[in-house]
Amino acid sequence: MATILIEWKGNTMVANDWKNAIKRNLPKIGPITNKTISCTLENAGRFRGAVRASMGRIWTNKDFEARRKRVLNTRLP
Amino acid sequence: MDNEKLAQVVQLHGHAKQLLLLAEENEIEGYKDFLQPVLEQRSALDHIVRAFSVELNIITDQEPGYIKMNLDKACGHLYRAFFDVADWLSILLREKITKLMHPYSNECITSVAPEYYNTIVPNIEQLNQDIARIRNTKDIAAHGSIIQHVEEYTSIIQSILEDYKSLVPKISAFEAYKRKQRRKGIKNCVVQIIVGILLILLGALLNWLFSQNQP
Repeated sequence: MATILIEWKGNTMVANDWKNAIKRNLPKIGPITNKTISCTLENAGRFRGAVRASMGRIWTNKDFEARRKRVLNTRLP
Repeated sequence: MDNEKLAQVVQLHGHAKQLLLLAEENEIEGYKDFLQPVLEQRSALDHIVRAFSVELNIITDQEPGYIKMNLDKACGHLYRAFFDVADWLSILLREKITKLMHPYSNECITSVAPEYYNTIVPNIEQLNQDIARIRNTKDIAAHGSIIQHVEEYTSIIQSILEDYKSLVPKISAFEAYKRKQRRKGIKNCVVQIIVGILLILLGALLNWLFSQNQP
């Protein structure tokens, strides 16, 4: 197999060296935003995955926190 | 490999998955998914694979204790995933109970379902506070017996879910009580109007008689 070199985070890594990839940390995923949802919707047809996620039915971090605050501040009857 | 630690990983994932399925089934606002637990599970998987890569001698140049360290981190991520889902589910249940009980007065609820104020409300309030406090703890997996902790919260959430399910069949009793109170209210209102009219007529009659007796 031809060796392919790639640059990743300032380091040169051999692309077919999956063992090195195991030792590396996964990239951090930022907060889920409306942009995340719109990108997901654009690409939904290309990938298999959760139905709700592919339909954009995902809570953004902001909406979830707002809902959480609203529900916890509502007094129980 | 430490089988006890692996068993802990399995149990934590199982509990988180159980609550995740319940949360997805009970979601009422737009049937949306909450992805935060999934991100924690992704991180947990990465740590588990790292541990197994050393166990299976795929990677050989790691320091001693690497397996245990990664399994501990996997447990930490799964513990956080559990409490993220527990938070989501506790908010859902609180919302569902609020919407269910909102149309009924305190008197109606106390008469038909006295356990609501005695048990259900205190449990939900305590659960919401506990979960918020635990989620804000930085070193989330530092707790001594995390499985016991997780099992305790799973049983509390399930008992609140059972409580909610027990309230649903009582809707007809709540409505019947509400109708009865409304009829009683209308009857009282009619009686008051009639008594008021009679008093006015009596007053007019007395006034007329008094004016007749004047010289």
